Order: sequence, then C-alpha cells, then structure tokens
Amino acid sequence: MNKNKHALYLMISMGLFFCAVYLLDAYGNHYYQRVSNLMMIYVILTVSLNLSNGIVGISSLGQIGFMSIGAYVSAILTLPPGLKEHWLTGLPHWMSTIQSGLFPAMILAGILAAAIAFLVGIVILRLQGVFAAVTTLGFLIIVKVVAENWMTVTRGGRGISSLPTYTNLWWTSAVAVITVYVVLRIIRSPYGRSMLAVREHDLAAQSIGINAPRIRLLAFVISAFFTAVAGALWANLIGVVSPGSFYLWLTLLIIIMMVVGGMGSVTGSVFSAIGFTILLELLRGFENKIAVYGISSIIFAIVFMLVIIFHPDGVMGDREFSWDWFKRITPLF
Amino acid sequence: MNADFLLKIDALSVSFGGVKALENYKLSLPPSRILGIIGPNGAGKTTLFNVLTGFIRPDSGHIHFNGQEITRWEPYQIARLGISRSFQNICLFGKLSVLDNVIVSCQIHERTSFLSALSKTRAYKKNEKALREKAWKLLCVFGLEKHADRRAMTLAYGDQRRLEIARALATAPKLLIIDEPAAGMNPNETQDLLDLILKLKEKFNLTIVLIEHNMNLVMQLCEYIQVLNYGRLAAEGLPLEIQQNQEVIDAYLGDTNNAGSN
Ligand SMILES: Nc1ncnc2c1ncn2[C@@H]1O[C@H](COP(=O)(O)OP(=O)(O)OP(=O)(O)O)[C@@H](O)[C@H]1O
Ligand SMILES: [Mg+2]
Repeated sequence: MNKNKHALYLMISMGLFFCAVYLLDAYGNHYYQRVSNLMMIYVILTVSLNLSNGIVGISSLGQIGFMSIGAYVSAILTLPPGLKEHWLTGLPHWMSTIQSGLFPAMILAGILAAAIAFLVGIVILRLQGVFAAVTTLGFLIIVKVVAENWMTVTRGGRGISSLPTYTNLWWTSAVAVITVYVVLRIIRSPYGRSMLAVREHDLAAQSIGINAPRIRLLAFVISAFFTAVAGALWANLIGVVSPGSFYLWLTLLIIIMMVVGGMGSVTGSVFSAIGFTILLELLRGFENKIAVYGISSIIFAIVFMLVIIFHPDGVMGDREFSWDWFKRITPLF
Repeated sequence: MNADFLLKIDALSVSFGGVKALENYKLSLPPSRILGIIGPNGAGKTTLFNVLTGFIRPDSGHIHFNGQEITRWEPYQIARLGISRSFQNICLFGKLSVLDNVIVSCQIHERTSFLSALSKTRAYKKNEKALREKAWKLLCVFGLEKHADRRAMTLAYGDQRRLEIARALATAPKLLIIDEPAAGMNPNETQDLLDLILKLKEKFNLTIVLIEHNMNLVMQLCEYIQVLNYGRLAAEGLPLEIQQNQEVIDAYLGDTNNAGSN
C-alpha cells in the first residue's frame, strides 16, 4: 500500500537527516555548524509564523516580539549566578543564585511567551487585517522598548552577554522537527480545519459552530510558544542577547521566508527557510569577495520580488509536500 | 414555555442608523414545517436571518428556540444549539476541498482533546474516519461526491449553492434557514432544488425557513408564507391566501403572469 511506502520514505529521510546532524555536529567546522543552527532556528520561526499568519490568517507583525521574550527569559535563566548578581540587580534573590540548563529555560521561555500571547491576543485578535498588523507591530515595539529600558533585568541596550552556549545542532534540529510535526498534526486535526475555515470565511465559520476568536487565539498562542523556544535556542547559540537583535530586520526576514514558501504551507516554509539561509550565506561570501557592500541585500530583495511576481502565492501556495508530487517532478525516482 | 413551537419570535426590531430594517416582527413556527419569507429587495429578510443566527443584535424583542431564549447569543452558540443557515451571497471556504467544507461542519459536536490529536490515539483516528464518512455520505445526498477533492471555489455556481446547504446540514440542525437558494438557477435546476429540499426535510426531519424571490418555488414548497415590506409584516398565511391577497399583489407580486420569472 502507498501509505506504508510513504511512511518508509519518511523514516529514511528522517534517518538521513539525523545522520547529517550527527556528522555535522561531530566533525563539521564551526562555520557550518553555526549556519546549520541558524537554519533550524529560521525553520522554527517561519513555521510558527505560518501557523498564525498563514493557517489562521492573523496579520501579525509582532511574532519576533515573542522571540525576544523567549531569548531574554532564557538569557536570564542560564546566565552564570556571579554575572547575574553583578548585572541583573533587579532579579529576586532566589533567581540570581540559580543557573538553569537549556531545556528548562526553553520550556519556561515558551510558556511565558504563550501566556503573554494569550493576554495580548484577547485584546488584539478582535481586530483583523491592517488593524491587527498595526497593533502587533506596536507590541513588537513595546517589547523592544521594555528590553532597552528595564536596566536591572535586561541590562538595557548593552544586552546580556557571556551566556553559556548550550545550543547545538541536536537541540535545534530536534526542536525544528518537533515544531513541524506538531504544526502539521494541528493542521490535519479538527483544530486545524477550524483554523483554515476561519481564515477562509470568518462569518461562515461561526455559522457552523466555530468560536472564531478562540481558534485565532489558540493559533496565536501556539505560534508564540514555538517562536519563544526559537528565541531561547538563539540566545544560547549566539551567547548574547540585545534589544536590537529581535526587531524589524528579523521580522521582515521571517515574513519573506514565509511568503516565498507559501502562506499556509508548512513544508513550503521549511524549504524556504533552508533555501534562504543558504542564499544569504552565499551572498555574504560573494559580497565580501567583491567588496561591494550592500549588494547581498539587493540580490536578496530581487529574488523575493521575482518569486512574488511569478508565484504570487509563494512557491508551494497552500499545498504541502507529498511523495506523489515529489515523484512527478523527479522522474528518476 | 412554548413547547408547541420550535421557534418563537416576539416584537423583534432592528435598525441601522435611521433605517428600520425590521419592526415589530413576530413568528410562531411549529416543528417540521416549511416557512417561506418573501418581500421586495431591502425588505429586511436577510436581516431577519442575521438576527436569528446571532450576527446582528436586535434593538428589542425576544427569540426563543426549542424553549430557550437565544436573543443575544453568539453565532457559534446558536449553531451548536441547532440553527444552521446558508448565505445569500455564497460564503464557502473557497480554498478548502469540497469534502473539507463539509467535514469541518460535521465536527461541530465533537470534542477532540488537543493531546489526542497530537498523539493520534486510536480513538482519535476512528473518530476522524467516522467524520470523513459522514461528510462523504452527505455529499452523496447532494450528488457532489464526484467533486469531493476539488477546491470549493472552482465549483459551478449551482453546485456551490448546494454545497452551502450541505455544509449547513452537516451541523445536524433542527432548523435550517436558507437565503435565496434558487438565485441564479435555471428552471431545471430550480425544480431539482425543490425536490432536494423536500427530500432533505423528510430525511433529516427538518424545520425550514426559506427566503426566495422565485414565486413558483415558494408556492409549491412552503406550507406557510410571511410577506415583509419595509421591515414590517405586510401579510401572512397559507400560499393560496397570499396569492389572493390584494395588498400583497399590489406591493410585491405585481402582475401574476410575471410571478416566478425572477
Ligand atoms: N449590516 C447592515 N448595515 C446597514 N444597513 C443594512 C445592513 N444590512 C442590511 N441593511 C439595510 O437594511 C435593509 C434590509 O436589508 P436586507 O438585506 O435585510 O434586505 P432583503 O430583504 O434581504 O433584500 P434582498 O431581497 O435584496 O436580499 C436595507 O435597507 C439594507 O440596506
Ligand atoms: Mg437578502
């Protein structure tokens, strides 16, 4: 039966994927490890954004605000106690004496961001379209301003450095796989069908018993959770968090990745995040070589515009990757 | 209270700014009937449906359904209680498949836990399969099963109208309200629609309220008719009474030769 075959293909590709993770983690040089880690983090961010913006259709520009929250939570939790007492004088005593590992930090980051998303969502998700876009952007700005000014907890504009770099390729790739799995399962469940219905026609969805604001809130909260986990991974990969890291550039980058992959297509987001990470690295190398600075941003923008002109719905539209489709485009298979 | 009536509406008024879309509207509808609502454009027919399904809050008045007051309920609550509707301007989930349009409606009374969806428990899979089969059967009743995998927005106009009714029925309503189902249909399609509605009523034991401009359809289908004009009840009665009511003829039906040509 086809289904068994596809399960086999999936297991083989997962096996290959984790073999690659093993090889890179054990023998890869630092540069390739760094780029692969970023790639996985971008996959998590793009897929999460797609859940709120593509699947349920919230025009959110504020998701990177949740990444910032996640990164700061993890930074505060994992910073060595000596530095905490020195820098983050606003923390309660018990917090400045402990140092958490990556996993609890990640989970707490996710939960706190989800709780904030819940509160923010109750207010914002009554609004739609442009109004939602403007208010979520407002949220992003507020998060940045708080990070810049809450000196005794975030260390303001100087940021928090000397974080332990716990994050490795096993962590990032495992979280990426889990994120993709969870979001795909949601889409194919009654919850996901309700989300798609709400995106397609809010009123009609309500008329068949769907509590549209609640479904939107659910997607928003889950999206915030994974986005914050990505933030925690990021903080403990780079070793430094500062307010400017989680702002407009990253917001724009992730939106472009999502749109090019196809709003509503999870696998599209995965391919797009992978493709753009590689493209950005190639362009950076190219830029350094010919020493015409800024050229990479221009090429990046051109690639984005070309895709949007010729594929307005993104490369995958709202379809998902399937083995049948894969066979059709790769005749040697 | 009102055990004899499935739907009871008292002194219902709605206004938009200065426009009185509905004024002192009343209805007592026993179960298992087909009620027709007619009236010229802008008479307030669709507004009545919107109030009934919770999309518009009335200025005053009361709505009781199945013995419960539902006047200020949310649309999704009203749908879960058993009132389902189709829309005058087709409102399908355009990019979803025809089958998914119905499945998402079938799941209205399901309570799936989030964890069982993530872990694909056996009960969950069984439930999903049952939903699919239920939706498929419903598509078969409407003769739409051959289009099951197509996106809803690619269907022909008449099929879209029928899919809307199928989706409304998938919530297993007690009361089905349909807004101009025959709009844009040719006489053949209209006849098929008439047969279909009668069949549905029997099969699913429905009470139906129907807005329609096509007089042939209304007169053949409905057991009782209300005429709205400028938001007010201009007349009500059996189809024959309505056809002979001079006021109605003047206000709305006009030349009887033309009745049904719209
Ligand atoms: N949401 C709204 N906001 C403002 N005015 C409205 C709204 N909905 C309806 N109206 C007005 O209320 C009146 C009744 O409209 P309604 O749509 O109920 O008429 P109708 O009987 O369904 O007409 P038709 O046969 O054209 O569908 C009209 O004057 C219309 O312009
Ligand atoms: Mg109308």
